Amino acid sequence: MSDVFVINEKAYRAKKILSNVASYAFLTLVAVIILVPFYWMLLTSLKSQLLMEEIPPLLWLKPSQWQLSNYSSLFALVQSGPRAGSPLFPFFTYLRNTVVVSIITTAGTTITTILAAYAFARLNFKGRDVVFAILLGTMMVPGEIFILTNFLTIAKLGLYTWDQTYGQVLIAMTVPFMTSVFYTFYLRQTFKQIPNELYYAAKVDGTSDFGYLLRVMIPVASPTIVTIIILNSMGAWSAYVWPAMVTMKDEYRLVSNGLRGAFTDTGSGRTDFGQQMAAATLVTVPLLILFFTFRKQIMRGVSRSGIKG
Amino acid sequence: METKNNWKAWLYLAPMLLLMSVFTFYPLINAFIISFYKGFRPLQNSIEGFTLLGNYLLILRNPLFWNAMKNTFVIAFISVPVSIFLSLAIAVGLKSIPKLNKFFQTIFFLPYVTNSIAVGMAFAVMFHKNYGLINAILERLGFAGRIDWIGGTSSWWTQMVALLIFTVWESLAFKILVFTSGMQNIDKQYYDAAKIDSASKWTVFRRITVPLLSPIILYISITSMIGALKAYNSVIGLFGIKLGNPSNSMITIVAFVYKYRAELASPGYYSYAAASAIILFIITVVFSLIQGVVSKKRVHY
Amino acid sequence: MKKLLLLLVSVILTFSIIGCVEIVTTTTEEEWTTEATTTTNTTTQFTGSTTEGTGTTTDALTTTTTTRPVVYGDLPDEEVEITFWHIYGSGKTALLDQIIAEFEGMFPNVTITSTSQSDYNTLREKIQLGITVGMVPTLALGYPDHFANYIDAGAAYSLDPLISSDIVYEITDSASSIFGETVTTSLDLTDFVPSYLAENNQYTGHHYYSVPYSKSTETMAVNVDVLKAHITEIRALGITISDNGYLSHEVPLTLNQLNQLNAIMVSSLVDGAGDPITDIANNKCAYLVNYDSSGNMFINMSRELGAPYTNTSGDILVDNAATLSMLNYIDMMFENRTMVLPIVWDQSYGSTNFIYGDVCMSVGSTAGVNYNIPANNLPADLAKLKFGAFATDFVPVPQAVTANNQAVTVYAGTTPYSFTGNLSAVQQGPNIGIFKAASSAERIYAWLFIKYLTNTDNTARWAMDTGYLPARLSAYTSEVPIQLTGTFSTTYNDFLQISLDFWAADGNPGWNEADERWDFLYKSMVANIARYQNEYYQYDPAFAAGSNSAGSATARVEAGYCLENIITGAYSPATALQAMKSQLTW
Repeated sequence: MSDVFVINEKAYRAKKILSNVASYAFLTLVAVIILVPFYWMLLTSLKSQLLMEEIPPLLWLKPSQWQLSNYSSLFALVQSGPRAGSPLFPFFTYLRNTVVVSIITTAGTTITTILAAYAFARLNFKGRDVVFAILLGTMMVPGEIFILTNFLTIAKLGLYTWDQTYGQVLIAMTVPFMTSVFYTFYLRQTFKQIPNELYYAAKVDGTSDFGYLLRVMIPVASPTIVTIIILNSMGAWSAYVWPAMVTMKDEYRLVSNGLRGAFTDTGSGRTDFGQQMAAATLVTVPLLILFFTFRKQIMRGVSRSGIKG
Repeated sequence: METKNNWKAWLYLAPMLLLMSVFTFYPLINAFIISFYKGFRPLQNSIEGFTLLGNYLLILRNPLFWNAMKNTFVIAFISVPVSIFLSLAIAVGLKSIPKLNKFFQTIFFLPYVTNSIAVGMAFAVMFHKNYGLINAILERLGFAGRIDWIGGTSSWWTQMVALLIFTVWESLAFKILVFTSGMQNIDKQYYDAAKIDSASKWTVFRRITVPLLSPIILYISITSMIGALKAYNSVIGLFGIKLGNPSNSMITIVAFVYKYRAELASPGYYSYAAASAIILFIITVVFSLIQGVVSKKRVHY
Repeated sequence: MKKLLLLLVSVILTFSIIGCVEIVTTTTEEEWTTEATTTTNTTTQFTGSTTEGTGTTTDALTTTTTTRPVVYGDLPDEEVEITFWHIYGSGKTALLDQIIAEFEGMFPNVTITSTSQSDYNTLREKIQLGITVGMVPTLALGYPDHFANYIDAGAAYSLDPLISSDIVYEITDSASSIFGETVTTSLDLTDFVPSYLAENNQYTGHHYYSVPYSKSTETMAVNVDVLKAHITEIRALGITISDNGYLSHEVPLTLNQLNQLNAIMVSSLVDGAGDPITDIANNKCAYLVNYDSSGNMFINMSRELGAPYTNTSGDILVDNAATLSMLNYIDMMFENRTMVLPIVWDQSYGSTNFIYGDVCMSVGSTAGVNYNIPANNLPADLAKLKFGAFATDFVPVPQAVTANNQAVTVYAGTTPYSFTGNLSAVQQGPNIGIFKAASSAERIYAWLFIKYLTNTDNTARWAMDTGYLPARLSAYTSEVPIQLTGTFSTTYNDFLQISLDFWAADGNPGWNEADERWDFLYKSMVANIARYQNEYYQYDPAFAAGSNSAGSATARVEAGYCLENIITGAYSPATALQAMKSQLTW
């Protein structure tokens, strides 16, 4: 009996090790594939314009070939002329704007999303499925078709003026994006997994719906909510068209606006990809810090309390 | 659940619906109305009259639109299942390994923070006929004859394969994240029970993981289907505004919308853009409804 | 309420200024477009304006004579803020900033806010959206098709009244750097390159809605070392070439000469995958001529071979026998490696392949001249340079004929194609114009700024700084030295002389290595070539999309795709033409 058990145990271990090896191999392969573009961004950010033009492209660089000036030049100051002393590439201004826009948008989105997801997940009301289907439907319309009308709305609201203030710009850039059907749907799925028993128990205790949402649903679903916050706050990093349209002054724009136009040569119309990628890499750093800081919360999953499954 | 929640529910929905009425429904309805205008010129805000189906018929008669439909559907029906299966497999793999899973999770998150211009450039290089990584690997493996994936002499098939790989790559990060967090709630008991029954890994995956993740899988499949039907950025990233070789061979419905959207000074163009957006809207609503109905029986809450 | 009052006051003020300025010239804006000659209704307008700053134009009231005497006026003296939208990224605007600062020194009451809108598409879309809500800049850069759109929407301002105005303004502000001098809004159009002007008044009614700003053309870079290696054979063809391999800089090569050079200079080798490669040992390139811009190639070849393309009324004319014949000819030239497009290397430009020695000649924009110089673009692995760091020269773009309207038979290999040929070289680059929404004071200062920006010195300075070409003919003979680097200053004329000296010495000018002329040699070369091509510049007619045909910008893009689809073998010439047509008309 014990013999058999030992043999099984051995076989089990061997199998386990084998499957672990397979898992590691698979994950490593995927990791490599996923890392390639990230590596490419770093590599390009270290290339001089000359090395950029090489055919075939250089796949790695010796440290002696690194063009660190791609980075340092981002912080260089204008040497002469009326703008002398101001930064060549207003990196920190763009970064600040992006962070502010990101925080405001995310705060708004989180609130509207939680409320709406709660209604869809927990409350039963007439037309719920229809409304939900319509909301889902809006996700399917390419947002670009909204730009004209929304721009007119923003202008009618007096937010697009020659002497546009920072406050007006912030409203124009954030308010249209304070809702997200995508995350409402995501959160609804999480909310739905919270057992009904908890809800009835709370009802028996005399807790109101809102109290239940605040005291039970949100804490239970907090990992999902944190995930939403993190992912949503990244939106501002890639926003490009809308911020370009509604901002009157250059100093109100966001990092992506800075990344696109700033590195094109006035004469030849060619882009200095090295500098552009250096800026892109620098812009990525705050996101990575954010991710590393909150990785635990993001990764913790929805498991902690009271959820079935 | 009780039923007398009508007004309360609307109260919870109010902030979202209010904002959406202004910035989503209103422009959507506006686009819908504009799609019936004849000779609409946004800059002058003038029209030459109305037409019930004129713009729609014009679109349906355009062979480019049908090309766009074909490409869009191929992208949606291949990339969505593939990426879901792959990310589930990765999530399972992550769960099964004893060490380094935080390390891998971090790597899998990186596409989320990588600049899209860099991604496009990197993929264009990877698929290059003469000095691309992919052909280099294929040659190592003994496949003679370099394939032109996305270059001037590439075929629709190779371009589509490259586009699908790119699309799947782009969508992996979010899916892995969601599945990983979803799987962490699956009670260990289930797996322990399975272990005692000495169920195979595949059985565990099919009988435990998938059913218990079904709400998340439904969410992912619906949203990624929507995302795939709106494919545009990946096409631009890989092929530029020429949209493939020969020109427009990789066009998608959203790219079709784009072709007409920015011509604000020219009569009628904006109406074509609006009408094609509405067509996409209708197609996607139908798909989501089908998905919703089909999944109702299979999703376990 | 306060705002309303302010608005009211500013409206009154604006009106009074309009009154003030127009007093001296003539009547209303619409009539300005015709020649301004009479001053009939001046008195009524004058009495109407009682606000501050209008009382000083009394002397203007005396100007009722029919001969045109000097008319004095006063510039508006209130604070004027001018918004200028362009696409120049931060860090690339040093010279523009400097010119703005100089202008503000001349007119201390004017502030120019220049804002980059990152790229031309964003710029155009932002102005278009701005038109719908009445929020457009005072002035902006733009391509002719952009201005065609703005004109269609009634938003562009005809510059004619300013250009033809007789008024002389005295600068009475003692803070001004030109205190005591006079300025005028009138502009001597004869000083501009004629085809630039034609491009800027091609619109309905032939009004000027913009003036040329940053113009460039195409020239052809050639690999001098390869040419030199075949010097006897080339001379045998009757082509003039110097002992060191320099071709004529005034007389363009003909298309038939390219066809002949093919036999001498193009390799027949292929690599394992069947792609053409350079025959280094025999000094033969894989291809003869690269054309950077496929759109320009289509359009310019259409003009050279008399094949209808588009016209100013916005008709798409490509569906004709001559165009199809041209495409068949080009297809054969692609086939036999006489011509090539960067797409065969999966590149956007052919300059890297030119430097590497894959192609012997390369047609590209004068603005990108430096990319074609091997010595300035050495790769990390020098072995990539099949002909080493060869000498680059620039020559005019090849032509079908030597004079306009000539019957010509061009050969691809031995296959003949008959056309009616013309001389043609592309002109490209943005223009600059003013919007109607601007107040009268803003327009005057915006226009004075444009005049300053495009004056002889500044157009020359801009040209030498960027590789663009001067918009004015006087720049070519200007004697005013311009500081180009800390130690080097030159007039545009001397700048042109740099390459003339170099060519005169057959590539051995004997300058020492530190001589700063080396740094400006190639820009000087293309500037000279551009000057020789001046006479046959052609502009691409600009038009907005119509209800069943596309606009000129789309036509250009599709024209480029048409050639790319042919060279890649995706479509036959006939199919490519049909595909193009179906994208442009419906």
